[in-house]
This record gives sequence, structure tokens and C-alpha cells, in this order.
Amino acid sequence: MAASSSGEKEKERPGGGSGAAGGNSTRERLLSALEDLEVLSRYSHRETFLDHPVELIEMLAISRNQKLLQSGEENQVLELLIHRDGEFQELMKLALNQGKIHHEMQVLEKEVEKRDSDIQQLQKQLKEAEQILATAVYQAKEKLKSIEKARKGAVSSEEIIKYAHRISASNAVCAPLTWVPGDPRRPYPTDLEMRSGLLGQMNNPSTNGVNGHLPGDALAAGRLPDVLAPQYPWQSNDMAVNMLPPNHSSDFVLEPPGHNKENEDDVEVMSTDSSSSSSDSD
Amino acid sequence: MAASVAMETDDAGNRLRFQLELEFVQCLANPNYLNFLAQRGYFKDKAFVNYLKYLLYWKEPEYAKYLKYPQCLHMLELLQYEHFRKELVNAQCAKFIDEQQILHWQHYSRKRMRLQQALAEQQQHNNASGK
Repeated sequence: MAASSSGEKEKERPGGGSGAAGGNSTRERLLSALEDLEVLSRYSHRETFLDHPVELIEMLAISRNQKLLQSGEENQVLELLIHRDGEFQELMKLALNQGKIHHEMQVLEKEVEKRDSDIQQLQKQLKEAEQILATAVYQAKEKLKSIEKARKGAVSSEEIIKYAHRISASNAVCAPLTWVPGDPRRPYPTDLEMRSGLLGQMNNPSTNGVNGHLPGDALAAGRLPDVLAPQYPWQSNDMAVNMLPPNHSSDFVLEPPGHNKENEDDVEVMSTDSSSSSSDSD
Repeated sequence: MAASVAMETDDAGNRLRFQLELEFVQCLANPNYLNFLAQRGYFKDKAFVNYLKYLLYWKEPEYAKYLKYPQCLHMLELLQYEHFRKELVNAQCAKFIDEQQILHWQHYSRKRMRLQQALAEQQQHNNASGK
């Protein structure tokens, strides 16, 4: 009994705790059953006809051989022992089942872990793919934007060439090759040119003598010729009617400055030839 | 005056205004004229400053193609800054700008001269080595 009881002990299983009377785990119940069995089996009958206290087992053995009348006490103990043993057997079966279930649980858990890691792997891959796609889409959008921008700013090459011709031919952006200091030509409209232009003539309608030799008369008095002859370098040549400047002139009050206050005798006004004597009056 | 000629429905008026503004914006390329304006206090007038801002439409390619003196656009951009307008009161400032403009104007002809010189030297060298 002692050997078998120790053997039983090794088969303990940490079973699920619920479902027992008193809430004990299977393990505890097994242990308590074992203890009971041990106690009961070691029950020794003090008073016997032999010299030393004998254990119940020995008593049973003896009584079976000799067919002695057993007292009620031993019967009770025996019955208890049998009962307890029965319980113990049942508990063992239970423990075995629980063990199987636990084993299955472990197998399933492993499966779950495996699937879990698969899912995580997939997730990583999806995330990478998403990032790559997002980058690609972003770059494509940028490209589209730049295409749109380029298309918006497209200017016909012929026009550019024509324009380049125009501004170079009159030496407006590149000095004439024979230019020396003292040459009155400049990269901007000079005094003379300004005064004889439309602006200059605007407020000097009757004074043809201002710039006598220059043919500004046709534009005098604000009369607009039918054909705007390109008389001065900056007067537009082929102006389309719909190319009119945005009309915000109501936003500000304005007078064309400077020209109407000029007269030839006013040396203060810029003179590109003479050394610039700064007007200290202001 | 310019405002008074701007009649929206009048075609001739619009064309006149176009020409006037074209002329005026190109006059801005002349640093001496700018100095003149500064000294007369035009740059202090809010309406004038607004007008300068309005003139920025000449930067669009459809309008810019009428400009003979494209340097005026750069001057126009600079004129948007108050600091520049204030500085222009000085004659030295105007003179400096004038000089730089003329030097820059000569940039291409100088470059071309240098190239011609280099070419001439090379030809001389070739002739010398040939002989």
C-alpha cells in the first residue's frame, strides 16, 4: 500500500480547480484522499491477542484466516477504507481526463501561436507593401503636379525667339559693340525718349516746341492714331485689343508723375549725361 | 490722369491706358528717374505705392512680351520694398545702380570680345606653329 500510494502521488496532475465540493482542485482532493487512505490503512488495533499493536491489514489477514468475529470498529474502518478507495479511483479517472484535456489545450495553444505569428508576418508584409505603394503614389502625384506646372507656363518657342530678337536688336539688353563712355545710349529709356513718348505728350498737348525735332506730335493731345506706329523702342507694335491691362484703376488715385512737371530748363531732372548733381531741396 | 482715361467700355481708352502703362513701367528702368520720383516724394504716397503693386501684372508672359526694356521688371520688384524706395532718395544710390546697370549691359559684348580675342590668339598660334 505504501509503495502504491507513493506511485499514486507521482501521478498527480494539476487539474482545473472548479467543480469540486468545497472548491478544491483535483490535486488537493487526490492528496486528501491519499492521506485518508494512509491513515485508515495504518489504523492499528491496539488491543489484540498478539503482543504488539497490529495494523489493520494484518488484522484482516489474521481474521480471514482464523475467521474471528470482527468488531464493529474494524468494519467501519474497512467500509470507510473501501469508500475512500472508490473515491480515490474516481478521482484518478478524473485526473486522467483532465490531463488529456490539458494536453489537447496545449496542442491547440501551439496552433494558435503558430497562426498568430503567421498573421503578424502577413501584417508586416502588408504594411511594407502599403508603404511602398504610398511612396509610389506620392511621387506620381508630384510628377503630375510638375507636368501641370510645366504645361501652364508653356510659351511657344517661336514667340521667345521673336522676343529675344526684338530686345537684342535695339540694344536694350546688350550694349552695342561700339559703345564707349559718353555714348548717350542706355539700357533704359532716356530722358529724351521719355519726354517724347505718349506719357510725356499727355500733358503738353500744345507745346510742340518741347521736343521740336521729334515726331511726337501725332500722339499729342491724347489723340490716338488708328495705327500705333512704333516710333519709340518701347511702344508696342502688335498689340491685341484683348490684351488690356487689368482694370483696377479705381483703386487708387493717380496722376502720371514727373512728366507734367518737366520742362527743358529744369536741370534738376535727371540728365544722364551730366554728372548727377543731387537736388538738395528735398 | 491715367485713372481718368480708364474707361472700361471705351476701347480706345483702354488701348491708350495700355500704352501709357507700358511706357511708364519701362521708365522705371531708369534709375535717375527713380531718384527723381523719390526726391519728389512720390514713393511716400500710398496711392502711388498701390499703383506700383498693380503694375506687377507686367510680369505675366502675355504682357511681358511687349516690354522692350525688361530690366524694368526687376526694378519694379525692388520698388515693392519700402527700404529700397527710401534709399532711392540718395543720388549716390541712383548713380550706383546706374553704373551697375550699364556694366551689366555691357556684359555680353565684353564676353563676345573676350571670345573673339581668344579666337584671334588661337589662330595666331596656329599660324605661327604652322609656319
